[in-house]
Amino acid sequence: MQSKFQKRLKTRRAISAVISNMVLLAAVIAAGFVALQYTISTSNTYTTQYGTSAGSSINQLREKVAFEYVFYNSTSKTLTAYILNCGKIDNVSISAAYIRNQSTLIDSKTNGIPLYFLNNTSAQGLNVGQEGKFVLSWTSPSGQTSSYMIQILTGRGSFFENMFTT
Amino acid sequence: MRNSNPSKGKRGFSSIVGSVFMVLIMSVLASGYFVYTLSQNTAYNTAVGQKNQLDQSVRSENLQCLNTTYTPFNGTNNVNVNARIQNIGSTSVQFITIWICITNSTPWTGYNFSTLTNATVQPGNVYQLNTNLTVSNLVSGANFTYSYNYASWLITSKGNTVALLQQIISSNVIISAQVAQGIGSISMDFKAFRYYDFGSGYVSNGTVLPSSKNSYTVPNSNNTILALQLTNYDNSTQDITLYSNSYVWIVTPQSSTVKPAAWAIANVTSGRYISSFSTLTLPYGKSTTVYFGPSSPSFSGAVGNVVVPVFILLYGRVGSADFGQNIPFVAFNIQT
Repeated sequence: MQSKFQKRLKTRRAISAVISNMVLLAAVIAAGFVALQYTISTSNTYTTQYGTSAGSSINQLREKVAFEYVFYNSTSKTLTAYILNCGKIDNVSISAAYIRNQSTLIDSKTNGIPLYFLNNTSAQGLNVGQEGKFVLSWTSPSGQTSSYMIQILTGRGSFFENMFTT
Repeated sequence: MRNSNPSKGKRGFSSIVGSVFMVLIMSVLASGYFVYTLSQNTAYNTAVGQKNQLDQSVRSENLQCLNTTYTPFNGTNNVNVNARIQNIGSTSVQFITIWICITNSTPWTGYNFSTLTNATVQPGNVYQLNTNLTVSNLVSGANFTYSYNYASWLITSKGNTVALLQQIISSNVIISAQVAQGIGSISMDFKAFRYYDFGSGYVSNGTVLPSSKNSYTVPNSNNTILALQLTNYDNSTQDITLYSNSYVWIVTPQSSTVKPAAWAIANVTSGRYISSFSTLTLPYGKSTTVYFGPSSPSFSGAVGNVVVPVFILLYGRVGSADFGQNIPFVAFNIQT
């Protein structure tokens, strides 16, 4: 025979169900918020990466560099290239330069190319409409007049090229 | 019998809340990503459009250089560049920099640039360029005493390069022969031949030239100065400098020998004979009057008219190289 306490305990099942439902609901809500926050965070990460990639491509599209003159000094063994930022974006820098003969790579300078304005002051980058120059130490492999191509890689990853003769 | 326990009917409530969160998450994820992607795509398309527009505007620049002259001045290393550039494109063009490059056969190369201001030319208009450049500040050694090869070009604000071409002689006018390198670089205008007859008078420094005669009949005993119209059509388009040992030379059959005397190249300035002569430059493509004399054939023993062959002997430099040419197509009728 059941005691009185046991009988009363059996009659309190409804209270446990409410509590359990509330606990369950709270857990679901908490998990939902965590999942939502995680989703938003992940989404932000993806959109940021996509935005960075798209922005980089857009900036590359807006970059345009024209060569004004390329001069090889056979005495000092230097190659001086005069360039103009004729694009739509400021702060164009040169990160690498390559010299080619036909399709053959003759020489490359990839350690960062210092830029100068035409008045020989140092420049971090060229803004729109600004002219500048850079000087490379380079020895032409041919003693005679030959044609070469210089390619420059900008800090944003755009390529520009120009022919010159030694 | 129906379930009388109300808790049994609320078992799906958490699932509903979870579903709502799931829908919310998916909505936030999809809509946010979609909208952002769309905005980035729009920005990219805008950039592509701007790039195409920029390329199009660069291609729409169309300029024609009508004539370019280079004039050294003020000693050495300075040169004046004069050119007319017509905008035959559909957009206005702004020139920002002019470059000049000078070379010779040493080989030596000097170059310099100059920033241009207010150098904008509207479609259809002509821009008159007249600027002085000094080359020595970058590469020393330029000396325009000798002929140099010039090249210059303009840079537009859109990055185009416009070469300043020197006057081109139309191939419809000049027909170069296929042999003997076009029969020389200098051409003579036979119809423009003149001479100045000083009669029995003595010709000295500062003597004023008399009226010219347009004839190939030349007096035997009188002092004459010959005026030849010579044009430099050198294939390399370089100037030709004539030295003092350039002559008009004739051969007479009467004396049975080559006449030792001849008309030496002379200096005539402002209608007066100047006894000193250094050099004479024949600019490429331009007709220049070249004077020879004074001298006279002074054939002895000849009677009446004697037709003799004439050799125009020209010696000097073309660019920085030696130059020599003989024009043997002339005849004089020597009137004794």
